[in-house]
Amino acid sequence: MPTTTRLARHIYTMCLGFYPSSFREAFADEMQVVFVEAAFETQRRGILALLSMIWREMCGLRVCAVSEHWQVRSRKELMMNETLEIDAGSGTAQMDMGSRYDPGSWRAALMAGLPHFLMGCFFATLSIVTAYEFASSRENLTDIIGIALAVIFAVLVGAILLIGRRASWPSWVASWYPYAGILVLLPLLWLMQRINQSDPLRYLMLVMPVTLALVMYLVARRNRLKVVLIALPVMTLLWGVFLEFFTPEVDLILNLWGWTLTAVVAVAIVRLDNWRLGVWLFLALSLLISFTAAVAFVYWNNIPPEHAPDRTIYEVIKFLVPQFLTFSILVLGPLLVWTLGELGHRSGPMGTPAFQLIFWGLLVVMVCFLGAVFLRDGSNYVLVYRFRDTGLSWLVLGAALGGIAAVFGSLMLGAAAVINKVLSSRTTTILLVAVPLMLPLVFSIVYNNISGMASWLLAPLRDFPFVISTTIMLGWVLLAAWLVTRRFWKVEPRIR
Amino acid sequence: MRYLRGDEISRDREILEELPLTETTFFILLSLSPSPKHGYAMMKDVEQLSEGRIRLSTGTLYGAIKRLLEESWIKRVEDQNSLEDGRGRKVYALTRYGRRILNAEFDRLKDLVAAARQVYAEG
Repeated sequence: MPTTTRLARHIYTMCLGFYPSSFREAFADEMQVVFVEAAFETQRRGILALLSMIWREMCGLRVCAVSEHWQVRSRKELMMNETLEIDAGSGTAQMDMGSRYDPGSWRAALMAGLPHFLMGCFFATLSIVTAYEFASSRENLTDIIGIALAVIFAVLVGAILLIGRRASWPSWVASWYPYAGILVLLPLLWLMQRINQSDPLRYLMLVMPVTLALVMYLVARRNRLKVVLIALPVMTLLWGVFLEFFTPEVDLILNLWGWTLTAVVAVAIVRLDNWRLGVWLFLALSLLISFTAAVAFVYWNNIPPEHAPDRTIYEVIKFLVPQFLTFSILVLGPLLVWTLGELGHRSGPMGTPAFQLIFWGLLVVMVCFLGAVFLRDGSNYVLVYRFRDTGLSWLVLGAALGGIAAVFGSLMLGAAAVINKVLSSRTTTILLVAVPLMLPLVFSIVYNNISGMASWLLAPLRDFPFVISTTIMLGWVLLAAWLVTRRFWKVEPRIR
Repeated sequence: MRYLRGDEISRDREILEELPLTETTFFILLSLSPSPKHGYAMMKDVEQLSEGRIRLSTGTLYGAIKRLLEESWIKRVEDQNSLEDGRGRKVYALTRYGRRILNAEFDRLKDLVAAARQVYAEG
């Protein structure tokens, strides 16, 4: 083959890369053969004829590659719409709305990021108004503007939920769910305060974690992307609890930073339509926000000097790590339990009862822990390490029984999965059934510190140096994230 | 006189909906009409049949082939010569449905020409 033809073939082969993969698989080899034949024959008529032919081929290739990509895209959209139609039952209105908010479309992505961006604006406005209030000595201005903005936001959330309902609840609507939850919660809290005259936050701290855990697990069974989207604003909101220690100026910067990042991550997750990547993005965002807030807490806090932490990097890490670890549970918890559920479902007749034991065991541990917190300490600052000494022996017994049930269930599930050869690797199976057992330990950290829950669950850990226990916990988070984002099954069930 | 069956009527309607064909599609089908051919032979044929007006690039040709395969107007067939010389070329042939479409297009063009001739003759 002459050098010019060979060179032309190389260029042509490279250009074939512009076609969609399905097209290349079907026709690329054949097209190369035809091209070489054509080039070989044209070369006999001279180099100009060959160059003219190559030029024509390149032009044709570009246009056709674009056209093929367009067709592949149209076909995908058609398939998605058909899926939506099947999911939604019947009704063209639902299908039309669905196609406007296809997963991965910019419209859906922006709708997922919008509420967080608005929350950033909301808190930033409040910070500015608070600063103005201090400067001008005007009273109640923050309350008035805050209530007005909250009402506007509430109306918007209601309208978005209506749109979501008409579109058969696409994934992006999940970004708005936590705000809808808050709108339901606020009047309830107000009512409780009016009736009981007690601190409603105590009840909230008892009920909310269990409710959130159950809701997130139920959502995880249907749609993993929604779990990540729901967890994002919850994590950022929980960070807001610590902002009371800052001046309005620092508060403004932290709010804008945190909420804008949350909005960007929500947009990226929906645009990429990839929940696995979403889990890692969530953890990265959580770490970034945690770090910023911890730095601000240590270096720019508004705390009297006698109570303020030392301005050292150690204090930053000490403040950062427990929150980061616990907030990671928001995503990792439901997804780990969902993965366990799938493993149980595939592990024969023993699998499902084993999973139920783990599930209920872990839930009982959680409820007992929260019950002890609720009954023992009326204040918001809970001394968890005293849990063992609370005198609430029935709660301790409940937690111990729950723990035993979870461990026993894990052993059963592991055995069933190995016998039925559900996963190719035994190590992965063991990790998968063992890692969720740490959930209560990690969950409890936010209520005190790492050695808190360990004091009665894993006594030897109690006196571990902070660096070692922190490393163990961070290792657990990475391992859990790796496990939940692994592709164990070719086809993931939508609803169980 | 033979009456058309229901499915034949709907099939004919389906064929009529495909018409008119683009010039490229028409020439590709026409090229395959006498016998199955491989890609390069089709390119040459189309150029010859169109008297040099249409020079297909491989991209255009295989884009069209892909669509014609999807529509089942043409099919891939085994090429003994190609297997023997080891060049791995694919050969394409008209399906029955493709041939009916080509015939229908041919009839349509014939009617057009006849109508034009009549008008010219009268004028």
